[in-house]
Amino acid sequence: MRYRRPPESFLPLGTDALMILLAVANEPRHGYGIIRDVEERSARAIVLQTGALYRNLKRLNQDGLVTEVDAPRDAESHDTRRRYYRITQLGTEVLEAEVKRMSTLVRAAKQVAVGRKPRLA
Amino acid sequence: MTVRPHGILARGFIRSLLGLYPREFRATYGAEMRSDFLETLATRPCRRAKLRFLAFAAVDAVRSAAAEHAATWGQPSLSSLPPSRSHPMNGLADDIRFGARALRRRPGFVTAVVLTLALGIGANTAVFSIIDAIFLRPVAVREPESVVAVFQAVSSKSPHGGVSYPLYRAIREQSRTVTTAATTSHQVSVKGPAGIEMLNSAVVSGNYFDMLDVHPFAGRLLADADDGAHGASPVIVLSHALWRRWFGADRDIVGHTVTIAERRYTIVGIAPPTFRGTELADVPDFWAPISMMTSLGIGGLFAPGMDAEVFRTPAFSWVEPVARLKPGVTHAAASAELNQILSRMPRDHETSSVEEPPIKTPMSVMPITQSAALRDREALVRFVRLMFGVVLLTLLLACANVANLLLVRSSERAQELGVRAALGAGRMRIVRQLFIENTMLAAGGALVGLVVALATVRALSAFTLPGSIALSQLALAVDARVLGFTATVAVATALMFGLVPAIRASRLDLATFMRNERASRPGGLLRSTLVATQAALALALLIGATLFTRSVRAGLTTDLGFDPHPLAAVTVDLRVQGYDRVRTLEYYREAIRRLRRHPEIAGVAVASHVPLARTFSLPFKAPDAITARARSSMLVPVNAVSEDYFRTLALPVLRGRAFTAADTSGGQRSIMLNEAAARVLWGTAEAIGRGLVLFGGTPYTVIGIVKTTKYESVRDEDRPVAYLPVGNDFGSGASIVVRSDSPRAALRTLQSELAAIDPTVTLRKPRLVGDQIDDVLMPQRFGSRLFAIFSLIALVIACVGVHGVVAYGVSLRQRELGIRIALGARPAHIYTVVLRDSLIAVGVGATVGLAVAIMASPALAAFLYGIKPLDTPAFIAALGALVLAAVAATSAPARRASRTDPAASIRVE
Repeated sequence: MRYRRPPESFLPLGTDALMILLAVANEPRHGYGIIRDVEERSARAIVLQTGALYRNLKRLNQDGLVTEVDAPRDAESHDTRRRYYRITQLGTEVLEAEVKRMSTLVRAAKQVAVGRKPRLA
Repeated sequence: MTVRPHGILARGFIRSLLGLYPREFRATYGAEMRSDFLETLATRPCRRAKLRFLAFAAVDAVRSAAAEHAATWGQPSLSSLPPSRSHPMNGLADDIRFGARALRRRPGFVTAVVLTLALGIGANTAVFSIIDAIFLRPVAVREPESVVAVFQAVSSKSPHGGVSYPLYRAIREQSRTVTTAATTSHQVSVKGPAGIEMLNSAVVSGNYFDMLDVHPFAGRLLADADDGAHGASPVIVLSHALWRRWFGADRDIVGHTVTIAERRYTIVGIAPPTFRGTELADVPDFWAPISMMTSLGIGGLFAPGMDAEVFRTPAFSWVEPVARLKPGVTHAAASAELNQILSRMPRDHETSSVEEPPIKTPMSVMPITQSAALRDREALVRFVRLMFGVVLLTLLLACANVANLLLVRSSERAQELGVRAALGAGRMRIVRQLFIENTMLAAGGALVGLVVALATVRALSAFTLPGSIALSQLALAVDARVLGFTATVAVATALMFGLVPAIRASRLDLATFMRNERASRPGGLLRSTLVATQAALALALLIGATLFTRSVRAGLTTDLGFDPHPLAAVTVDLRVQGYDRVRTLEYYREAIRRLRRHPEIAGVAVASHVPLARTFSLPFKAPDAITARARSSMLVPVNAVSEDYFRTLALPVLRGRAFTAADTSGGQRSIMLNEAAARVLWGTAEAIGRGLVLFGGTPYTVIGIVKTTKYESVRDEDRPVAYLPVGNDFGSGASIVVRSDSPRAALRTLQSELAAIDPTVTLRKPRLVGDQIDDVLMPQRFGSRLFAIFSLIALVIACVGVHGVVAYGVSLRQRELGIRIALGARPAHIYTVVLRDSLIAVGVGATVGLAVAIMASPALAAFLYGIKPLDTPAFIAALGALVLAAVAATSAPARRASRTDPAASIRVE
């Protein structure tokens, strides 16, 4: 069996990588779909550029966090030429670990804000 | 659609952005990226938003493309990589690894650079090792900085005279500031395993080695016990070099004996290999106790009966003391005390001179590191400076050439460096990367340079520097200091040749890079400047070479006052062979008688000195001389000659007469002088019949005046010489000279006839006197060889540089040249255009080089003979050589340019 990196070893994820994983977490999307999803999800605060997108996709694909899938049946005809991406089991675990890490950070940061000593556990 | 008008532009734009990515990445994602890009662009509501998007997309593309390129080199690509990779030292290791890989890909380039640098660095290392051996560590003793030479000034013009033996004893007994030892050096004929040889002897007091803290290599060194009664300690210490040469490094030789001046001397020990005495001009072959000085027959003058004279006369300053300062004593304090000691001595210990005011403080001390190379020191320093200048010019030239190669290469590397810059590598990081690569190149150059240095030192070892410092006698070694020097030069070199190209590369224009085209003519001016610099440096060296070569030619054809070319000579040292005075004279007579029988030999003579060799001088005084100095004591080169000497050399006797058999038999004490000596002693007054007193009191009467000739060197000007009748043997033997129209054949006859008289007599230095001019012209020959080698190297380097730059320039202008040809330009015209461009650069450089040479040529004046430093033919010859070389270097690329195929060259773009 291939060696499987523990999910924590991918942390912290870059913003772009995190947004991409979120975009393909529930349904397969093609590249442009991911760009739109990131824009909507971040209320246009984050604009994913194509270069950054495919560089990250290549990397995430290599690392086994996302995988290419066939176009869904309901896709528009011209979209069938496109590659679709979906999160993998490992990707989901990395995403969960990252969200957990971030929420821990956020909780700790809030404690600082109200004058307590933060604990990162 | 509203985007339509911008559609074509946008497509072109994205196509160029996509072009930045590695091929593989583009193949996988290119199509999707293009459509995503266009779709996103379409959602932007207004022109401003679209432009904003395009700008961000461009930045994104450069960054992503750079990251992807880096990823293909195995470089960190994503920010999510483990943080340890960004440790600065890791970056350095990466840079080194990357540099090595980058260089491995270009073996031809690396070879050219390393060889060029090796020549420059090697030459500098060689010269530094010479400087090191002469000026930095000339004497291998403990704490050399506390060892000094002691001098007594003769006059303000010659402040570095020796002291008399009584004064030396007084210093040794009375001084509380220094521990003093006595030395003096002379040449002595010694019968060794390989026959009779002239060896350098150093006669030293017993405490000499102890004071210097030198320890024996084998056996023992001299000790105070050897300072006993005159002639009572026949012992010698061999130098390590002589021991190896004579006895093949056989340690059992200690205790054996050698014969010097009819006495057997016991070899008591061997000096350590590092110790070469305290004077570089006379590196001793052996050391003997000072008590044996007269027994050694040094100079022939100090016959065994003269001990009283030599060791007691206050006026005879033959001791050259060396001393070690006691702890905490300064040079000034030591000098002051020595002057006090002198002032307590009887009056006749002071040198008095009527022409010059008396010197208040004649005694002085000088660090042994300086006094070791004191003779002709100014000329020596000038010459070494000249050598250093020459090799430094060569190094600069090498740097200019390598800088040029790097510039050409840097435009080839623009893409790679652009990617690194885009990836976020700061300018410092890129400069560092390039500097590391340059240092690796320089290190390679330094390593090969060490080999070049060893070869250079070997090639130069036959030469003698001014001040009689034979390079073969120096302790030249590649030690830690030399290695340190080489390393420093290598790093400095890397900075010199690499800085400009590195800074240019770090200023890489990203926009140019993104358009994926080569800059049209990057650094054209800079490269032309470098070519001009190379031409200037090469011309300066060429002018030096032609000046020295012409000087050697002038020296060879100079008027010596006599013609050396029909003369051949051989030297014998009969006293060492056990001959007494009577048998010696018999031998000479027999030799002359036998040789006269040969019809091809036009003349035969015996002389203790044949012109153009080192002289031997004796102190004379003339009671009625016109100068006080000549009335007290004056050193005059002497030559003991047979009756036929002047006829054999065709030297005219101007007044009076030559020696006759009566003079030679010793009945009368006759002396002959050359015009220069007569003028120094008595001015324009008649010299014939006047009296001269030789040191020791023997009176002589002047019987004839001879024409003044060059005597020791072609640079002699009116050098006084005294001639004595043969039989006055000066310890180094005598030469038998023959004159013949075929001197080579006469030399063979000479050797066979002498062998017939006594086959046991060693015949030293069989030679054509004409060839001796070569030895006399040593500094000029050395200079001419030095400049010839380095100017040739410089010319080759400069040609490579010119060729490289012109070829590169032609490759950049291919399209322009193609169009010109297409429009009807003739090949000859194109050829001229290219040639003109390179010759303009070379011409500018030549002008600068000419100016440099004109400014620097006075520095050469001291080493030139027979020509002026601004010698027009030399300058013209050098300039001609440079222009020819430049034309040769340019013609190949120019011819290629003139044959440019217009269709092909336009299609290239």
